Amino acid sequence: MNLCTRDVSLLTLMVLALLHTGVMSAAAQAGNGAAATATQPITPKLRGFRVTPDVTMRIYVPAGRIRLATWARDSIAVSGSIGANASLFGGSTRTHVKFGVEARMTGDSTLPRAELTITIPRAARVWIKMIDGDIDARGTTGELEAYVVRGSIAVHDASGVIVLESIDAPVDVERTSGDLRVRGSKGRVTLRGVSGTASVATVSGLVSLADFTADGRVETIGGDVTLLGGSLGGATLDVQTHSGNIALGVMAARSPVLDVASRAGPVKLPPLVQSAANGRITARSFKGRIVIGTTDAVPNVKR
Amino acid sequence: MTDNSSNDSFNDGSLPTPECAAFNVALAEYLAGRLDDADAEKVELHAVECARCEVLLERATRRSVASFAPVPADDLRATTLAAIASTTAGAGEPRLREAQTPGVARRWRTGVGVVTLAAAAALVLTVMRREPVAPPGEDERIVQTSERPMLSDVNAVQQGAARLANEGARAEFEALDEAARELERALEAAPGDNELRGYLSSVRSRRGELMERVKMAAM
Repeated sequence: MNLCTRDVSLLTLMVLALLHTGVMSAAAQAGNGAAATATQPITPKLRGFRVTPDVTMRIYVPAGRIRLATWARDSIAVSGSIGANASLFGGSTRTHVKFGVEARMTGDSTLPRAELTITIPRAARVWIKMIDGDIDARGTTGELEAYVVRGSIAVHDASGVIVLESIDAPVDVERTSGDLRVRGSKGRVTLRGVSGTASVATVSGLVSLADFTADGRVETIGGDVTLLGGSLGGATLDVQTHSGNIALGVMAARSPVLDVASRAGPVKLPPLVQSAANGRITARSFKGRIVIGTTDAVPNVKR
Repeated sequence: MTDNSSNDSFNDGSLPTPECAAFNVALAEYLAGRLDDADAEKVELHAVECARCEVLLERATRRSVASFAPVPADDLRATTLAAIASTTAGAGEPRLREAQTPGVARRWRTGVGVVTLAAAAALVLTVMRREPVAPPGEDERIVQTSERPMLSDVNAVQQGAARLANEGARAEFEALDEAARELERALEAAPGDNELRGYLSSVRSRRGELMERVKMAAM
C-alpha cells in the first residue's frame, strides 16, 4: 500500500504515524526507563498532502527543533522524529492545517519533543510556537509567525510578513524583505541584509543591524544597539533606548542624516558628509551613550 | 531634537504623545470595565487614531480562539429534549401515551425537569467559563512575575511552559520596572516634559508586550 498518495489525508497519516510511534515508544519505555528521552522517526512519512498555495498552518512543538523549508509545490511534507514522551496530533483541510506534538502521558510535565523538517508552499501563512527549541525558517513569502520562549529563531531569505517573538531566545534574520516585526526580551537580535520595513523591540537584548536598508524602528530598554555599514539606502531608522548604548558605524563620505541626542549620556558625533539620499537616522536615549563611528566598524561604546 | 509635544490627533506609532500616556493610565481601568462611557470612548478613539496604542489595546484584548468554550447551538434545548424523549420513550409517542397514568406522568415531568435543569446548568457553566480579560496594571504585574496565574486550569506541559516563561522574563520585568521608576521620578521633577513621558510610555509598551508573550507560553 502506498501511503504517500495524495488521496490519503494528513490526519490519516498522522494517525498511522501516531500508532507506529506509540508502539515503538511504549516498547522502548517498557524496556528501559532511559528510553523516555529517545526519539522515533515519523513513519510513514507525511508527504504529498495537497493544500492551497496560501494554506494557513498552525504548528505547535513544545521542545526540539523545527526546520521550515519552502518549495514551489502546493503540498506539505513532514519528516523527522518525535520523542518517546510525545505523540503527534493534527487535523487539516486543503486551506487549513494544524498539527504538533503533545505529551503522551497525562500529568507528564516534560515538554513533548520533536525534531521536524517541514516543507510548505512558499506563500503559506504559517504560525509556529515552541517553548524550548530552535526554529530555522527559510524562503517563506507569505506570512511567518514564530514564537519561542527559550532556544533560537533564525529566518533567512524570506519576504512577506514576518513576526518573531521570543523571551530568552536569540533571533537571527538574514536577507529578508517585506514587513518584519521582532519582539524579544533578553535574547540578542541580529538583522543582516534586511529591507522593507522593520520594527524591533527588546528589553535587555542587544540589537545588531548590518546592511540594513529598511524603514525601521528599534527600541530597547537596556540593550545596546549597533549599526554596521549604515548607508541605509535612503531609508529612515529610529532608534530609542532607555539605558542601552547606541553605536552607529556609518560611511564617512556617505552618511545618512543624523539626529542624535541622549538626555543623560554622552554623545559623540564626528564631522560627516550627511545626505538624505543615504537615509535618516534618529537616535534617542534616556541615559545611554551614543557614539557615531566614521568607518564600517562599530565604534567602541564601552563605559 | 524631535518635538514630542505635537498635539496632532493622528499618531503613526513612531513616537508616543501625551495622549498615549493618558491612554496607558486609562487602559487598565478600561479593560476592567471601570470607566464610564465617555472615558471608555476616549480610550477607544485614541486607539483608532494612534497605531502604537491600537496595538496595545488589540494585544491586551486578544484571546486565543482555543480559550473560548464552544458556543452552544441555538437548538441545544430542543435537541436535548428530543434526545431525552427518544431514549426515555423508546418507541416514542405511543408508549408515552400508554404510560400517562397520573403517577408515571408526574415522574416523567419530574425527570424532564431535572434533565432540563441539568442542561441549563451546563449551559450556564459553559458561558461562565468564558473568563473576562484580565486587566493589566499593578495587580497583574505582581501576578505575572510569579508562577501562580496561569496554573489553575492548564495541563502539566502548559504549567512547565508557563514556569519557563516566567523564569525567563523575571529579570526583564525587574529591569522594566526599574526603568519605569526612574522615569517616574524624573517626571516628578519635570511633570511637563513630554519627552520623558514618551520614554515612560515606551517602557510600559515593552512591559505590556512582554506580559503578553509570557501569557502566550501557557496558551
